[in-house]
Amino acid sequence: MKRVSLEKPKIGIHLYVILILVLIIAIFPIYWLTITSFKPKAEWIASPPYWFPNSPTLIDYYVLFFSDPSATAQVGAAFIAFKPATKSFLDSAIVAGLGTALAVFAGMLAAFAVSRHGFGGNTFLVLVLMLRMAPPIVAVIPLIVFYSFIGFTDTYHGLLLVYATFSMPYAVWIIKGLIDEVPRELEESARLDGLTPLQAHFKVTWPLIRGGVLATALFLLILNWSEYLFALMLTRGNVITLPVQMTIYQTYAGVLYGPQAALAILAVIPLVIFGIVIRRFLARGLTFGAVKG
Amino acid sequence: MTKILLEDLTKIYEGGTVALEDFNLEIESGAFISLLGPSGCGKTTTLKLIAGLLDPTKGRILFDGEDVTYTLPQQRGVGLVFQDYAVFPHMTGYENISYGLKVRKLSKKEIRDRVIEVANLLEIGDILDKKPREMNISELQRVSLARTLVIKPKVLLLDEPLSNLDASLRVRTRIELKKLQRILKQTIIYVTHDQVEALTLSDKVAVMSMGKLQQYDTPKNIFLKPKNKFVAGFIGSPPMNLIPCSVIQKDESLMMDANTFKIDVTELKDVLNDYVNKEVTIGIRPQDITPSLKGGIFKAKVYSVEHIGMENIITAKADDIMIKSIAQKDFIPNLDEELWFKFEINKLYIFDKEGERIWRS
Ligand SMILES: Nc1ncnc2c1ncn2[C@@H]1O[C@H](COP(=O)(O)OP(=O)(O)OP(=O)(O)O)[C@@H](O)[C@H]1O
Ligand SMILES: [Mg+2]
Repeated sequence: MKRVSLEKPKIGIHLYVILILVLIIAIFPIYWLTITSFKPKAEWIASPPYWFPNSPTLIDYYVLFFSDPSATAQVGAAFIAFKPATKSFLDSAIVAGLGTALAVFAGMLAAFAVSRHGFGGNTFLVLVLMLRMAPPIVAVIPLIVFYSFIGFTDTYHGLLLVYATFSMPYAVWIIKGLIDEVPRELEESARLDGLTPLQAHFKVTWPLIRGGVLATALFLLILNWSEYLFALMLTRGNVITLPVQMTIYQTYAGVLYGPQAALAILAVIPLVIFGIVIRRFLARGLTFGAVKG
Repeated sequence: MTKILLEDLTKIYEGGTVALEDFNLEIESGAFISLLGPSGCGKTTTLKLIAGLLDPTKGRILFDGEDVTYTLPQQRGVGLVFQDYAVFPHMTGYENISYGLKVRKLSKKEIRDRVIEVANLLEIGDILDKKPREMNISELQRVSLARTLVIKPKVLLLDEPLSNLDASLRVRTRIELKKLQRILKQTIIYVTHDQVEALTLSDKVAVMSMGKLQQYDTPKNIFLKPKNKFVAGFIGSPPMNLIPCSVIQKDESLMMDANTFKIDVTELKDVLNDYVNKEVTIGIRPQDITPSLKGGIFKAKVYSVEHIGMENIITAKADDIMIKSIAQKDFIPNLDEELWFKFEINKLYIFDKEGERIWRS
């Protein structure tokens, strides 16, 4: 058990200065993104830069969702085909959300098999992780060919399966660690009461690892939500995820920094909400009733 | 009340650990028996096999003559109190105790009645609302026991239930357990590596070592008639002195030669005739060796003196063997002092090379 110090740690003034500097560096991109999303075109890359929008506007947000010639002309987007960002939120939610859910669920079943039923031993775990050892680009080319054969290119299930497959190794490893922390005897005790092994996993161990599993889900959701390479190579307009949508605003007449910033800000919000929702599960510290003699 | 029979029970874990080997045990209905042995000798494995949480590699388990080797755990009527308690950390005391009943779909009222009944028996009525992390070890241990007792198992398996308690609590709980058994009249298998617990609580003790049964007998016989060297050296505190010897014949007399001393064992001629010129081990309990300033069977240098209440344990060294003896509390020799030690032949235990006992008086 961790020892908790009752005294407040004494932080010197230098440390405060360093912490504040680090904080500024970390927050600065978000700050810049935020102000850019409220700037009119003239201010995006003005020199010297504006540290605060001089004439704040919502037009960068507006053009993401509405096909309005006068508005698009103002941000210089008149050249490109309009695609409402709503679809990309929906598409990302489907492929990243369901892909993550699938990865976590299947990964958890695999983790139970490894941790509780001695399935595959270490060999299996290493094999699973090997999927992540080569850079994703190695897998992309064969996938393109393979997907075009089976008609999975540019489909929701096609991209979703790739996301599930490539995030599952993380899920297996992290969740196996969580399960290992829960004494096996808790499940055995429930088995004596008549639960099947599977019921024991879900009725006894699941409530105890739920926080960790949700944190794993958040971690994988962030990865999949911002995944670009697979989305770019395996879709062609039927499915448009947020990172791909982002590229729409790189026109041959210049990059539309304002709408890109606006989209980025909006794209972060769902993740933040998910994080807040699961926070209460994460904060709840677990001390297992089992004690070691 | 169930009579349990273990036949040639063997458990080899994945990875090749032989946790239990050709284990045979007959447990009378309603008996309180102990499995006693050092850490890792397969005690927990035996309990889990009986409970049905593990499948044996070989062998059979019979309850009242019926083969239950592959019967599901919940159909065996067995309760197991786990070594580390296995109390559900996310449930209150009440929820923990009622869990088994809820799974068995008893009515709310019946569940309440039975939980209250067992909580009263174990005197934990006031901690039913507490979460495990707010309970102390003794309370956890009782909740764990209550969880198991509440389902009224025919066979109760207890895996070192007292090992996490401190000494005084352990003695108290031990007495309560004994009382409990008289009330419950279940067949109880009690696992411990504490010989005092095993010898004081049980009708019979099964001494185990490295997955094998060494001896299964009454506490009295385990102490007085150890079947082999392992049991002799394991039971008793301080443990029995075991000294390697060879048997030699000189004319008409038989001698036991332990390098540092020789003793005349001609009177054991009938027993030892077959062992002439062979290696044996003699065992002698510290209580049966008397140290003195002059006169005895052999001389040895005092190595350490431990004061334990009314007595002193004197450990002495003769060449490369250490010998423990017990002296009155006012007999306090100096370290490195040479003392004489004596014992009587009829207090000896003699074991053959394989460790089997070949003689005691
Ligand atoms: N699940 C397992 N997989 C592999 N080996 C195991 C497993 N469980 C126990 N063992 C091994 O089997 C042997 C017997 O273990 P067991 O837990 O039955 O011993 P024990 O007598 O209960 O010991 P202790 O007094 O430490 O509780 C040990 O060597 C142990 O390491
Ligand atoms: Mg054990």
